[in-house]
Amino acid sequence: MNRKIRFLMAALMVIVLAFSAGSVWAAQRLVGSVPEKPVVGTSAPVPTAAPLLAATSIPLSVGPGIPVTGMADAPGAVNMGTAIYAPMDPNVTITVTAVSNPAEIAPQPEGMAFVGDSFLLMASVPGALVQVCYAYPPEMEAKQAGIFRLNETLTPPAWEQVLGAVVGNGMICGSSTAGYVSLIGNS
Amino acid sequence: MAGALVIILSLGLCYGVTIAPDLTWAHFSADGGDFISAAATGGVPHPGGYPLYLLVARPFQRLPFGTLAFRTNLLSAVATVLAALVLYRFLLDELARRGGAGFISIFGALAFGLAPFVWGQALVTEVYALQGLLVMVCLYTWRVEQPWPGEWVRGFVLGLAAANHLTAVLMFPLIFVSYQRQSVAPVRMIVSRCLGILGGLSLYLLLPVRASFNPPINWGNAATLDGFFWLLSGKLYAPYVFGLGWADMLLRLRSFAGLLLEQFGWAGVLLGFYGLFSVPGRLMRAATLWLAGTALIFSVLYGASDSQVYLMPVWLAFAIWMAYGAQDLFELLAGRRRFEFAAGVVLMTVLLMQVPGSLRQVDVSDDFRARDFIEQTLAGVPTDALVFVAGDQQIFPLWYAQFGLGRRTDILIVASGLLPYRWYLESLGHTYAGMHIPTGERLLPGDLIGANPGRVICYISEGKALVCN
Repeated sequence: MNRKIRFLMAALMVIVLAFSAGSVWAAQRLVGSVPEKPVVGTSAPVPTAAPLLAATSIPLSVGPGIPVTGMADAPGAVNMGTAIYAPMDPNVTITVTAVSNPAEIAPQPEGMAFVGDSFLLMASVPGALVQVCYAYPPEMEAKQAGIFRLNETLTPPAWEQVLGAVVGNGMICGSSTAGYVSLIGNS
Repeated sequence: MAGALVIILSLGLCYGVTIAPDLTWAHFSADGGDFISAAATGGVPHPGGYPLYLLVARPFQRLPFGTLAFRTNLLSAVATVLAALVLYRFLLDELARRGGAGFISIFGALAFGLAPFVWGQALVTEVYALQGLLVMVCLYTWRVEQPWPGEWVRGFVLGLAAANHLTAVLMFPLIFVSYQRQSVAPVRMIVSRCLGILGGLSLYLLLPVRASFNPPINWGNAATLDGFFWLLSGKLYAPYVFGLGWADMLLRLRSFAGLLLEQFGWAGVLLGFYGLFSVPGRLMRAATLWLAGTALIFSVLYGASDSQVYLMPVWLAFAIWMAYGAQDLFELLAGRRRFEFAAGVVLMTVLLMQVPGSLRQVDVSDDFRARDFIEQTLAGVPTDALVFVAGDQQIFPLWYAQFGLGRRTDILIVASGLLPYRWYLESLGHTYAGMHIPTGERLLPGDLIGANPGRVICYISEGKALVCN
């Protein structure tokens, strides 16, 4: 094969690849190294309560409506009305700014909606953990709302759920590093 | 020597500023907590056991700086730099007959090391970076004229690769071909290589030894013959093989096309295919095609959601083809120094132009999601609680926290999905002296709860908040 033919063949392959390229790596289901949870029989009790807020020792009190109170006295805490941000390290200072239209930054995950206010959280120390608490009345629970943080390292940026968030006493609390934070639930 | 230094410094810098400082889930590394904890506690991780990885990871874990997870992540970075160095050496030998070999070899090694997938694997705890190094060593050893200390070494490195990840068996057919003779290898040579493979595979015997000490992570309990074969056979994951329909396989092939373009860019892919058609030796073309083709077929057929991790040999083969392509272009310009120089500048510019984008894509230096999950969970779980956990991203970080770091040893962590396995129940019994394990097979969480009254029960699963009652 001379160079011209080799080059043409390579160019043809690139064109075919470019036109057929997709982005979905299909799978049977999202399973990992540990097999899926076995079917739970009748002997397994269903959790009945969620009494936890052990991540903070500061008493919380949540009113009947959306606004959150309490925890605002924590060192360096910022009360945004519907959410409270409190740095876990008292030496860290934070700034929280309300974001009026989070969908413009990145659209919500498919089938979900922004069900709470969104904020831009900035911290004086990179990587510092900040506890984020949103009011979590029953209607939020019904929507399976969760705290989401914008992963700006992705292209395009996407909202990712903050794992390990704790529900209790009418609130949902999770910890996050600096970035855009929002409450997102089923639409 | 200067070329090797350029590779070490370039890749070292890129990996150094983007490596994960702690446990991470990024780049398909949800199993990281399993590997780290198993290596640190003398345990045995999920099938197929990965004995070579466990051995190599331990010295890194003993380094006197950073978190335990960071030190283990470091193994991946070092392995990838070494893989690029072996690739550089391989290309130097392979391209030596023609012009520009030094420069092109550096280009090929950097193209491999800076491909986003390869780069990502260099930053996290997983076996694929080490596998990349081993695949490259196998190819290099297969090619060298006279390996030291003997012919069996060609098989031995294949066996070692399979002791890191069982997919290396796809390379075993290389033993039937002699690159030096450019023909089928003589029987004596094949026998010698087979013995070498057995020598490498003998590392698997470490697994029963480790299992016999009842470590907290002891998948399959390889101390028993049944457990040993269960672990090695990967029976647990058998449903994933050939588990996909034609439509899904087609989707994956299309996704592969996208991944390929993402790794090397349009110009790189064009150069790679051009190089594939320009490989001067028939046997080398066949070997690299075999390497890439089998890895691609396996990753497409294997039903797990993250099976693109098996594509590492494809990226390796493609970097080799890119080097062949580049050399052919240089040959076209032979004698015209200015044009050669200009072509070199263009090649490096195209390669380096991708770096900022790749860096943003792979950077996990500020990824603390797994750490945050651990902190939040451990803070939320009451003393002495019995915690049922589901999902790799939840179970393995908690194993890392408790077994790897020795935190919250008061709580009993139970992987719900492993309850049906007797070996797991035995392992729980050895690990948690205060836990009562009911007799019988295929236990449900409720059976364990009933046998351990008085403890707060907590549930953790993917995407859901911690719930205790």
